[in-house]
Amino acid sequence: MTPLTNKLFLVIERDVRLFFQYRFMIIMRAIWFVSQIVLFGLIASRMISIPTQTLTTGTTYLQPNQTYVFDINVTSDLNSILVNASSAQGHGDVQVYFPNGTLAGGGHFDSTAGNYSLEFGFNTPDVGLWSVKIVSADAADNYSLTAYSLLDYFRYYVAGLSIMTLYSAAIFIGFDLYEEAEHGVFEYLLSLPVSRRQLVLGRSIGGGLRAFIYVGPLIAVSLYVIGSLNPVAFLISLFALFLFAFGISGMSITLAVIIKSSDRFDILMGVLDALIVRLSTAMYPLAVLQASSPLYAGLATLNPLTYVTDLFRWGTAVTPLDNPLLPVLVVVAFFGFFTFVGVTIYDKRIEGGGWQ
Amino acid sequence: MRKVAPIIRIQNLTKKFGNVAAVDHLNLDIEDGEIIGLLGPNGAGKSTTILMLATVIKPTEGTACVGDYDIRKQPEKVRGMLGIAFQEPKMLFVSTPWDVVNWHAKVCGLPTGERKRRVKEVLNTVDMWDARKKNVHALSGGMRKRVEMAKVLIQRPKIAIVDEPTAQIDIVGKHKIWNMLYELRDEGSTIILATNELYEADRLSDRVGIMHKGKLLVCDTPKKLKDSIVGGDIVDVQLEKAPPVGVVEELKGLKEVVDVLQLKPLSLRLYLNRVEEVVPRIMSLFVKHNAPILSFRMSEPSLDDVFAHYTGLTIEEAQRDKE
Repeated sequence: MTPLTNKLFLVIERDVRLFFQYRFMIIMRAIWFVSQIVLFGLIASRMISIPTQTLTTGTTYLQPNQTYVFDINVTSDLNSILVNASSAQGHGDVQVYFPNGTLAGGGHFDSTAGNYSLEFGFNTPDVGLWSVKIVSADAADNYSLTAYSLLDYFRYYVAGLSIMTLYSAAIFIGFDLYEEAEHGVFEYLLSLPVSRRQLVLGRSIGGGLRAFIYVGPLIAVSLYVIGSLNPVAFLISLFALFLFAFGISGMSITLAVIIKSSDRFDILMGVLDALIVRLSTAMYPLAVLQASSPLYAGLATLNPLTYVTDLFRWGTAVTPLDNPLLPVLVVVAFFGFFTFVGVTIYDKRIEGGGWQ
Repeated sequence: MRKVAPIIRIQNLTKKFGNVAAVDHLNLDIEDGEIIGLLGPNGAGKSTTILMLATVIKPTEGTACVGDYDIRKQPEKVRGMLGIAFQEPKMLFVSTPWDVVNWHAKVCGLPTGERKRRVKEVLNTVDMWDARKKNVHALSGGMRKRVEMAKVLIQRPKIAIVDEPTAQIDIVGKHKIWNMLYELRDEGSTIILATNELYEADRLSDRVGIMHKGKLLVCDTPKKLKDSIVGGDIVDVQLEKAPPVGVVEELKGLKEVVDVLQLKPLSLRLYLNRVEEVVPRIMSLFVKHNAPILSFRMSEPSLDDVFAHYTGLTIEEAQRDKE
């Protein structure tokens, strides 16, 4: 290791060690994390039923008491299905079968009475060739059926919660800067034979790394709760999480240096937290944001938190991702901007006492 | 003899915070291997000067060269030559003295083997080895100061800057730290000592620069500073009998003597310069006039007198003035 990288590692080491001195905060955040899962996650998931993907759809003419089979090729674990069925006459039955051919569930629909949606949840999620059968009533008619996979909001939320926790742990380094400026430690750091770039890069990486280390056990808890994993995708999402944490840490440092007032920084972080977390897919799907307001959805697509959360859900097989390259590129760009551009801003503001 | 270039050359160094000049066009050369004291009350500009030299804050005007490096143009090179013990100990994190010193040594590039040996050695030197595993926040002010000093000692920088190194430390602790500074100098470091303690500046410094309101008023050896006060040395002579006629006039005739007062019938007070040079002649004069001496007490001006001479205030008054 060259002396330059050695110093970089020392700066990183210091920030990582510094963070783990905040034992009370760490314990409280862990309690908060678990509480969010076992309270909010479990309760909210009972309230939410969101179709996420159309599995199959079609219309067929059936004679009385005839059966028509819609096949569904499922590539990621299917937990629940929402079936909308209708006919002019209005009556019929729907049956859902696991890939192994056993009956997963069934029910009667009466579209004339407005009762055409049937929801099925499964305790044994599976992949493979599922089938949905529509069974006509006692008259010939056109029968329509559309089956959707339903979002498992609990798993969805747990995955998002991990990223929210990573975000709030990575942002913490900005507060350290104020603490250090207040106690004069900043002067000490600036007087060391370490270049400003090493210092800010080390702090940015250190801030990200410590957040990542902190969130590591929480991610393990999440994985256990979510109960599924797509290994390659998960590794890619971990890489993205690393970069995202560094980027957030760099953003926090940059803002702390620009703002210079700890009170203002504190308020800004609160506002940013509200905007960044709420205007992302961390807590709810993009389709729901879109339904609420196209503006919200538009802003969420500009939010790096959306992309890193989507990648993590892809890695944990919670939701599929059509093109993982785009979110990876967005996260890399975010990391690049706030780490390297942030270094330059920091360098200019800090060098020679701008921090005062 | 060829004059050696100063290790630090400060030229018109100025730092303004708003309209207030914390340091005002400071010019000073510091020689390699000397201990230079910057003496002044709080707010005189000592710490700001130090922070500028350490490239922690940027000058508003002027510059300084540390070794071959300009603080504005090559700050990283400058920092590589400096080690600072701050006025308020800067502890890195909720940690132990061992951690603080060890991390500092690592950042300063000490090789692993030497570092381990030196951390122990230095913590022993500052009497902190037994307390090496204590939480730094549980340490007394004096102990924290010693840890701060240990950082400079382990670094052995070419230029060591120590800011109020013995503030709030008992007399035993002061002596320990003074000895450490001497040892550091003997090992080849140039030392800049910022202090508002007159005795400390007088005792340790090869030269003392007196700072007030951001300006460097004067800089010289303590002796020359004291000698610069005309009539600053005082000799009190107690005689067995009244001084013979003509003695007072003859004393006044000595070029070093500024004034002679007869305080009591048998006692004289002489105000003079360079007392140590003129004492034999004064003694001879009394012997010549057959005027036996009961007691002879010399006192030279303190740096407080020097400070008062240049500022019109004692250092305590200047301190109060600032507050």
